[in-house]
Amino acid sequence: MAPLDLQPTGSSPKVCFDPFTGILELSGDSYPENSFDFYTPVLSWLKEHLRETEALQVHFNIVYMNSSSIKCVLDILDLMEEAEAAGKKILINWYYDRENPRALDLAEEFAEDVGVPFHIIPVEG
Amino acid sequence: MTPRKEKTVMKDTVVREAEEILSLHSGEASLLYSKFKALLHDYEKLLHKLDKVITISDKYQVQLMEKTDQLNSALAQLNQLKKIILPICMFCKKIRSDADYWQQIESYFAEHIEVMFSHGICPECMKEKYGELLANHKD
Repeated sequence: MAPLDLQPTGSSPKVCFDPFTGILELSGDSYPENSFDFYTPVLSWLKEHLRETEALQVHFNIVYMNSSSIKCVLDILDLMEEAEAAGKKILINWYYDRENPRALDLAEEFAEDVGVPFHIIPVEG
Repeated sequence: MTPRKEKTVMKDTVVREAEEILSLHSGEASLLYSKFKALLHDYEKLLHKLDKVITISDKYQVQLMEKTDQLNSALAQLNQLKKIILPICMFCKKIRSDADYWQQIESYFAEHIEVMFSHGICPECMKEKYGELLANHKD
């Protein structure tokens, strides 16, 4: 399976899968000019990977997202949920800046409808 | 987790009408009925996701506006400091703030640009103030 390693730019996040730890990491800011162009290959990779794997951890550490990125991240969470329902071991860690009063609220908003283990973890900004 | 606020989601007119049609045909096990029901389910999920995107997006906008306000306020302070010439005592280095009040440089900066000072001793002052003591200690 093709590796997933997208380096961050000023407007797009780092998206990287480590095959040794089984962790998919998304970090940085996400407001690409065309979020759907950016996230479509990520979603395709994820669908294929979830077909082949039994367990996946996804670590989010995203500071800002534009509306279309939010939609794409919700799509990623939907895929996680479907995989969990299919018997895969899924875990989500959502890191947020403990000094940002809005960040926890945002994390909880993402976690609200997700039916897989979703850990909200504070980190130093 | 903090308790979530109760949300009111307006039921879409399309969903209401579709539910009405479904209730009229609830006894039918036709393919059309099941397809229609599945489509309605997908549509409701999509509406929920749209509502979610808008809610989260609004929160990000608030966060962004707060950050912008903080930056603007910091910029205004910086510009204010750039424009003024600070009158400073040539001997004790106190700064004359308003109303002929002379203020310690540390408290002036703490008050005006939230800069905190940590005190130490530079090598020159160490030599000047404690040079003799250090020399005696070495001997």
